[in-house]
Amino acid sequence: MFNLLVDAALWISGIFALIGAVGLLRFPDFYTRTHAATVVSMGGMTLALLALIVKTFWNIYSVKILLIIIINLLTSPTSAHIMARSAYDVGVKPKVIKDELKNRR
Amino acid sequence: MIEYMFALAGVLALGRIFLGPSFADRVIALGAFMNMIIVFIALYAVQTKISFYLDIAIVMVLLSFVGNLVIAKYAVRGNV
Repeated sequence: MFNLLVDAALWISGIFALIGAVGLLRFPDFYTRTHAATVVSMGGMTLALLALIVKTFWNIYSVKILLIIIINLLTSPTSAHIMARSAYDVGVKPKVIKDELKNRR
Repeated sequence: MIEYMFALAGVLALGRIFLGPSFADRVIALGAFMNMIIVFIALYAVQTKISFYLDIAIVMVLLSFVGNLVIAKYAVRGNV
């Protein structure tokens, strides 16, 4: 039962990582590539580490992997937001028609 | 078999690192690549039953965040 669950979650996380990497290579713009990188971080890494928690159920491995998941969930949105804001301030333009942040200051 | 899928995803992220037009593309692709390395380390630590490799994974998560912060601040202000 749990072996089947762990294998299914690992395969799905591998498929998510491949989808995110293909999107990272094929999207036309920096801001859409940020979306693809978030797919890799959430669907790939967090799902694989949750599968490893279920596999080694309660010992030191599970505690350390849970710590990795908590740190990643805290820092990944902050990092994506900071990179998007700094790219806009430096001058990486998005390929869209409407630009909401043009008259910001 | 899962490792090969993550390795193929890492090769695609390395392609984006090589041909990214601006610095921000390279930093985002490097973050995704580091996530794949962390999954590698966790899988290897669970397979070989050595729990000290997971400490390396924790340090790599923290270093990824601090590296993104430092590069963003340097790109905006010009110094750190």
